[in-house]
Amino acid sequence: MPPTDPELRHLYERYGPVILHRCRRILGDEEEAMDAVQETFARVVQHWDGFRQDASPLTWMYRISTNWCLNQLRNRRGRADKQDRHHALLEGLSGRVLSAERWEDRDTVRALLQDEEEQTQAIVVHLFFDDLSKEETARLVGLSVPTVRKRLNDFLARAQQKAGPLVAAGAALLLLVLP
Amino acid sequence: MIRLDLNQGDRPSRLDLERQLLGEADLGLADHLALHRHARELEAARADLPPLDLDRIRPPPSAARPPRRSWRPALLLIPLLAAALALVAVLPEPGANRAKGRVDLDLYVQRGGQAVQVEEGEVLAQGDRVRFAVQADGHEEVVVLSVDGRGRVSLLYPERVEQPPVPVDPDQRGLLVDAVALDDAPGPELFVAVFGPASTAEAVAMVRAAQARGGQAAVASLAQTDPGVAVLSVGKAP
Repeated sequence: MPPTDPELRHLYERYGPVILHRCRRILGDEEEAMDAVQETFARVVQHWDGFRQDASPLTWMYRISTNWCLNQLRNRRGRADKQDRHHALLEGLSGRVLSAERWEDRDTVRALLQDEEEQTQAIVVHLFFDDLSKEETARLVGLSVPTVRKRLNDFLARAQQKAGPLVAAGAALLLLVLP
Repeated sequence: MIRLDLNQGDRPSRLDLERQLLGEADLGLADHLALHRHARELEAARADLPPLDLDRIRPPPSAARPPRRSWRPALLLIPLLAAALALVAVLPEPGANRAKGRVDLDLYVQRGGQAVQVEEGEVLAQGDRVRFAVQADGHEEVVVLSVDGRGRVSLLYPERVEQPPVPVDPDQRGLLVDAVALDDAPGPELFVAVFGPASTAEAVAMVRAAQARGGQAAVASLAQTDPGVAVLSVGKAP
């Protein structure tokens, strides 16, 4: 039995602001975040029985909206304007502590996520953008805490590698122009 | 070294704050400042929230459910053991009723000397011998498990958790070798295929965590939330 319009409106009123706020944070793009809210609710309709049986509707919507947002981030990969910005963000990154409270750091983590596989992307989204602990993240993605920790460490190591050559290139350039 | 400023469990997560604000949990959060600030952020989002677009979120009638697929015999290419298997499967056209680019799990049971595809929700009986067909969508390995009506998670492929996941053809639908006889566990029974896990143990842990979190509904929802998971549910005759 699909949800009635009043049921949907009630859910939208209740959870819509949370999903919009979260998708804005993950995507950093107003239009895409608005789309993500509608698409999340489209999936609520499609999977209504499962949604109603889930112990936590909010957690369910977190998972669904995460998948949608990650798809959007992956779709950006081929866009030249985003790629240029991506490279610019990685410059000077080495040694930095990135905080989700700073919009420029959120941009950087989005750029770093683009080439990652889906599960690592979801882990980083929950840890960084949602500020979940590793234990909460492990529960949400269905992995053990050690696995979450390992995926995070692997992600950071790859991030360091991405930043490394650019930093090295910058240093070499500096040496060339110094008198 | 690049580092992230992460929650070490010493502050409420955003999910905690939201549950508290929605009245879904009484977590006894002492961080009133964080709660207040988050409430203000959500109010701002509420003000910007576009109207609910019912036309967009409800599927058009024609897309609500695809017509049943027509059955077409297809020759299965199963490496090595194919010739030794007595079960002859009749497979549908690959991907006929699934979105392209998705992993997929199908179940076949022997009826009257023929392998017949089991439909979602169909009732099977103890002793039925079933075979699994998977569409790996680029993945090279799979782990298949079952979750019975008592919530017991059983590993089917591979047989033991210390074994690596089972290799599969990443590009085309294929049958897993050997049939599995259903035991007397009560239904409904979920069959779960986890594609491309780092290890068999990881796939088992994921399914067990979902079962512990929300029972079979949570296990079933893995297929909606994880593009590398396919789930099929069947009933069990008493």
